[in-house]
Amino acid sequence: MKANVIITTFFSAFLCLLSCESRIDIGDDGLGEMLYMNAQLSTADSVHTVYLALSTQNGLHFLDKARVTCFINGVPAAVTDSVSRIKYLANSYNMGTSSQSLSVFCFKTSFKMGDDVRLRAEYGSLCCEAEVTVPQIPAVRKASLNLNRTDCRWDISVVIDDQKGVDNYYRLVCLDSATDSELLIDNTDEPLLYSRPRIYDILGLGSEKSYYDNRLNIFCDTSFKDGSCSLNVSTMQRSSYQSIDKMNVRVEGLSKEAYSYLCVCQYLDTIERMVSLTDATIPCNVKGGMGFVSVNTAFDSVFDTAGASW
Amino acid sequence: MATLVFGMIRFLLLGFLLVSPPVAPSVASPVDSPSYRLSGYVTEAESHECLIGAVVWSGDNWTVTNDYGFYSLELEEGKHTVSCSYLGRQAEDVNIEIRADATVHFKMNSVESLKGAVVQSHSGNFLTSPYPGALKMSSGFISNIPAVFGEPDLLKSLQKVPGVQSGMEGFSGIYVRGGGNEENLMLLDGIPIYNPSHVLGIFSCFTPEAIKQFTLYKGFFPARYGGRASSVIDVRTKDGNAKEFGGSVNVGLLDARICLEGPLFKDRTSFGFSLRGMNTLVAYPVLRLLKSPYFFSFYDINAKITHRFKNSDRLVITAYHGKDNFDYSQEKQTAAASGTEEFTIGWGNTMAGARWNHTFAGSLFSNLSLSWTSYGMKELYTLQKQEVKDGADIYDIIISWDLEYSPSPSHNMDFGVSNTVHSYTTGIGCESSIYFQDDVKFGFGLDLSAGLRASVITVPGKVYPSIEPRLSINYQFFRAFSANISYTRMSQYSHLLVSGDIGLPTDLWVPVTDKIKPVFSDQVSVGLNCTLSDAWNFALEGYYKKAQNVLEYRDLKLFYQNASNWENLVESGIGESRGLEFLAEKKKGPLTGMLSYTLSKTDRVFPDGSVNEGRPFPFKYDRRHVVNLCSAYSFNERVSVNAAFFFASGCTMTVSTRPTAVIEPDGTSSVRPYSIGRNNYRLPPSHRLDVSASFRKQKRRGERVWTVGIYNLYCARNPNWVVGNSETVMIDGHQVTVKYLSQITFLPILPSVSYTFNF
Repeated sequence: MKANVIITTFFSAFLCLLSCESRIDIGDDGLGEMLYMNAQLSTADSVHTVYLALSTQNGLHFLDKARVTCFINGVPAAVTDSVSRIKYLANSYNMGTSSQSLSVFCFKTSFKMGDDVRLRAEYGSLCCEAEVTVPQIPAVRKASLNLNRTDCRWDISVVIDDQKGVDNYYRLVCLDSATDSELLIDNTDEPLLYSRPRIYDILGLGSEKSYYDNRLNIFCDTSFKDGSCSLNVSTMQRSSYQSIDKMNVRVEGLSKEAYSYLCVCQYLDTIERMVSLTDATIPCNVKGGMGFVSVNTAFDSVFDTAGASW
Repeated sequence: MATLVFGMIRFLLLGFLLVSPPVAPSVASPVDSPSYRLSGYVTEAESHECLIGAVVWSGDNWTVTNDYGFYSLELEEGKHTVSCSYLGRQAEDVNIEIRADATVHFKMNSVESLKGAVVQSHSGNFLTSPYPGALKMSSGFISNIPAVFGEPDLLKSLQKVPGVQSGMEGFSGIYVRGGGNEENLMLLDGIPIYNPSHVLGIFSCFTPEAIKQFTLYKGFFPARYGGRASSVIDVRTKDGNAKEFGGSVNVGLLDARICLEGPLFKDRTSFGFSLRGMNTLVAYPVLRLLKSPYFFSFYDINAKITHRFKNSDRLVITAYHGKDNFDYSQEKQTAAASGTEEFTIGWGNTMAGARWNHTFAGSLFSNLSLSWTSYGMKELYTLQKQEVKDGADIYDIIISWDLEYSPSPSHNMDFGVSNTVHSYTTGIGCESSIYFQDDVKFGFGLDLSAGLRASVITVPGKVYPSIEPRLSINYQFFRAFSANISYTRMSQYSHLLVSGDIGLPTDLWVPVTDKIKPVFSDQVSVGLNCTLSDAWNFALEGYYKKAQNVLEYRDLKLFYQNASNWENLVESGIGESRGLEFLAEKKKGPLTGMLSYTLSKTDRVFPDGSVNEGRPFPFKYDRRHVVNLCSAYSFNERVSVNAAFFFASGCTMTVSTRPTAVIEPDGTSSVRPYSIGRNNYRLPPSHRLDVSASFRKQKRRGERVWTVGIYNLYCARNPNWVVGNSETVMIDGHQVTVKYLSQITFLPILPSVSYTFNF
């Protein structure tokens, strides 16, 4: 990589001596106004969140009213047309100011494995839909949580039996059951979750490892297809983790599209992305609009951790 | 031994002839007249350089010399007048009485040596091959195309041909009928070259003065060719003058070249040698004056020895070595360390080969060759005596045996075997192939070429066989017209992982694996050709091509390939290309030239969904319209001018046109650029006019030529490089980010001058 950077820098400098620059206005992309919809639903939740916005070439705009309908196996299961709250978007790539924001809608329903879930959003004459199928629940044979007083962290161990005959995608999450907030996991010593990117060697970053490269802890069954795998990780060393009364070790089952979406989410903030020649294509499965909708399954293992201290 | 081998081959062929269709004899003859074989070589009289594609005929019976200048003609017993002709050479006639197999070598004089002859040697012309979509060109074609920095270049001249695109403006990429740059089999004297570019593609590795002839196959591929999906570029270098020493010296803006040829043993052994290198006399002082920490250089060496045995056998030894070198050296001080930071990267090709030509019983021509080719890249980084080394190499060892046999005037058969051992950075593979092709003249203007190539590659964990039929039918009518239709299937057993839009030395050649399959392409071409009064030629050809298992990076394209896990970064899909190509050529007179127009469409689709979510998208170099107009005018023997105009629709690129939001499972959100699909945006068209003029003068010891030229005469702002950009503006009281593209033209108007001395 460094060779390419230096070579490209040299030739860019050389050619700049002869070069001239001009502007090409992109103009109208022909898409007009359309709806943006994002929802990452889970079988573990009873209340589900859908983000909506009006998309134009200038940005994403808050919708004061819209209708969101959830169909399960073709039958309307929930409808909502009241905005729960506004979500302001963090700025990246100078894409605009904090005026970009999303409308948040919530509805109650439950999903089960194998359900066909269709989410439809309507705003005036605009309409968009996304259809997904709830994947298999991961077959977690064993999960354990042990206090590691030496390293001041919780050790997590999970054994998963892979679903035979299909490609499977997973995510490992550790939650504070009381607040449902995710705890950071140190995955750098678990080969299934962490593979040190070669970009670190190329940039001369020593032997550094960072959990951030797979901070969402997603993995697929390539290395244990139709077999089983054993994951051994630990939480980060955080004093606040001592006061958690209940911890939930969750293994989520993802669809292939959801796995790709989460890969892109992680990639966008990596060093590799900074030196990439092309940007990642952000997955979109919303027909008639843009955005991404997924439904994950979850296998929860809840552990009582009250009173633990290191 | 030769008789035994020949006898075995004749026995095997007898089986084919017994089932082959009856053909109309080209020559009316008494049923019981015995026939004999007349064969030999056609060469230049002044140098013994063999002439490829020379026509040898007697009455209605004709043939052309093969890639080694050899011909073979079956004649009945009796008296015949045998003629030979070649463009730019005086036709030769030989009266001969055939009583047995005989050998006649034609030595053809240049028309320049004749008093009052029209000068044609400086004009570039096509010598159109009988195969649909094939174009055979001489080195004169290269020098007649005005080039960037005034450096004539083979690959740049090929970009003028219909169906061939350059990819990125100004670079040597060759994209043929919607295929990728890696889908071209580049052969130098029959030996493959993996990376034919210097200076990241501004020049190719082919030294123009060393080239005798080159052929581009893009429609029908003769069965002897295989291993690439889109085209074959077969470059033949000069054998060297077997009679006297000669050569040329050229000095240009960026490089200098010297070419030498001559006899080692007169009339028997000749050599050809050429050396080309970056003009460090100019570049180096400039860079040092600018105190630049960077330095770049490149060089090519071509060498060839040809020995002609008394029995017409030939032994040819060919070698090529070319290298690019990039150095960086800078004093560095950081909080952690200080010292000299040095970086060196070198990349290049090396190849060598030996071939033996032998004729069995005057009719079975054999070419046995053993060769080796490699492409390597090495980088070395040093700081405070700590070294980091890296590299990528590919080696091939190839042995092949090609045979040509004409059992009758209406049949010409090619068959052979070859075996290649590939060694890549990421693995090894062994590729074997066998082929057979019969070119049949049915008479009444109908010709048929039918062939079959069977190949197999063995890689760890997998064996991939391939059967590749080749069929071409050509029908000539009304003397001046011919129509043809062809079908070709090709397979490609290696892929090139490309870092960027230009050929970087770190682009990685990888073999097929148990997960990554070969590329298979099927192509159908239909064409119409018209030749008027030997001066004008018109051709119209349509094609449809479908390629399976083309590779594309998944939607996370990295700047640097990780050779250890590259299979997880790519996806296999389907490429479809269709087009219409028109060519008009004027071959004679003081004004010569050609006009080519291509209308084409190329798409890719990856049904797996990991590229563009499974939706079809245009190929990056899908340019709807491409027009090339090239002309050369010779005022007299001393002054000639050339002009080339180019127009092409814009390439495609992926451009984000509006923002989207990315939301993670925990609710963390960010605004990101969003594009509706890969290659969703079409850039503005490109156009350019290049001109050059040559001034020749005969000196006492040779001929000197000054060539002056202007590349991009009216300084067209073509998009050589395009990057995305944005600016914040106020709209209705709100700050709004507006996206736009910055187009960089780094090849604006470029004058050039070069000096050549031919001796």
